[in-house]
Amino acid sequence: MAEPDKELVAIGSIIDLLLPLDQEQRGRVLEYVLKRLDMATVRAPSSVPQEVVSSSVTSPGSVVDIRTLTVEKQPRSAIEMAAVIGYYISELAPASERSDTINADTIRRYFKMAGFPMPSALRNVLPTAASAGYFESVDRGAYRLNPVGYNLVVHKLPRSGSPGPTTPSTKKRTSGRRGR
Amino acid sequence: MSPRRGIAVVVVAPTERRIIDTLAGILPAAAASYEQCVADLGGPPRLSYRGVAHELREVLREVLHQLAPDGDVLAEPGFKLEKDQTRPTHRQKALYVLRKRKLSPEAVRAPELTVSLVDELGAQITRSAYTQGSNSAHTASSLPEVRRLKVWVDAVLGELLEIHGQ
Repeated sequence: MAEPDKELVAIGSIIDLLLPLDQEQRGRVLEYVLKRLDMATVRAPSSVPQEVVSSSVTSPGSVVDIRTLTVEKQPRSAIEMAAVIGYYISELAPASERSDTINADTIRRYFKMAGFPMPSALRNVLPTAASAGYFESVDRGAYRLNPVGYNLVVHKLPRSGSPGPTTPSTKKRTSGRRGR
Repeated sequence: MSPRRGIAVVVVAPTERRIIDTLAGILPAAAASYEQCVADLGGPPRLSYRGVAHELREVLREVLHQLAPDGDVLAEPGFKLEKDQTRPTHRQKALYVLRKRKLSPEAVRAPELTVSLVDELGAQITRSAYTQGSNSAHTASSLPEVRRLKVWVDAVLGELLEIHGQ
């Protein structure tokens, strides 16, 4: 016979212990237990999100290059590509390249490395990405990926039905090495 | 027996947790407000839910203000204020952000509509709080309304904060 589910056993035990108490006593007991266990609120069991994160995101620490990440995330616009670069630079890049902020030069370099079509107005990419809510301006021309941009890369990309990086919406790529 | 005594164990759903975590990184006060709303809606019965409705709307207002400041929206080429308005509406601010993301018109339409629904329902809840004579009757009717409001606020925040996965 299978072993009884530990969680169900625990729930049963707690209910049995609390049943004889009145509401106020139950509140005090639970309050104490939650404090003792350092739990202000109880989170739902994250059966989905953690797995989603690990399956959809190249975990920080794993060796990945910008080109591979671009293929994986399939950004559809220069703005999304900028977010991918911001994520790469802050989370995945080798220590020598890692940085919290990016600027137009970073964008130019990594667009080329990723083989992503270079936008005509490169200087506008980061300000527009900031207007879209993905970056915060930290200094003149320097931008930092914010939690919304992080979510975009980690949770949203690739978008369903994404045409992928080989057919971006702005320009057609003729070669993966274009711009090198 | 007072309905406010005791402690409630509030289960924070995964989407709510992502919203709280994301807000904490850009608007810590809004993160606290939102978490309070989650706790209030999942906790013991309240005498009134008007405050929760107001706080939910305030969270959305703060997010829209952060992502689409009035000046930026007003400076957008071709922007026009809606009738009888002196500032961009929530709907216009949401549109501004989503258009900057180069989303398709179809992808923009749902959150745009939901922002309008949040505004309408939020105003309706506030109005009914004043017009309903019996407090208990109002409480009974407003809880489902505020829960519905939260579903819509979650939907909009999910889009604006890029919470929703595939």
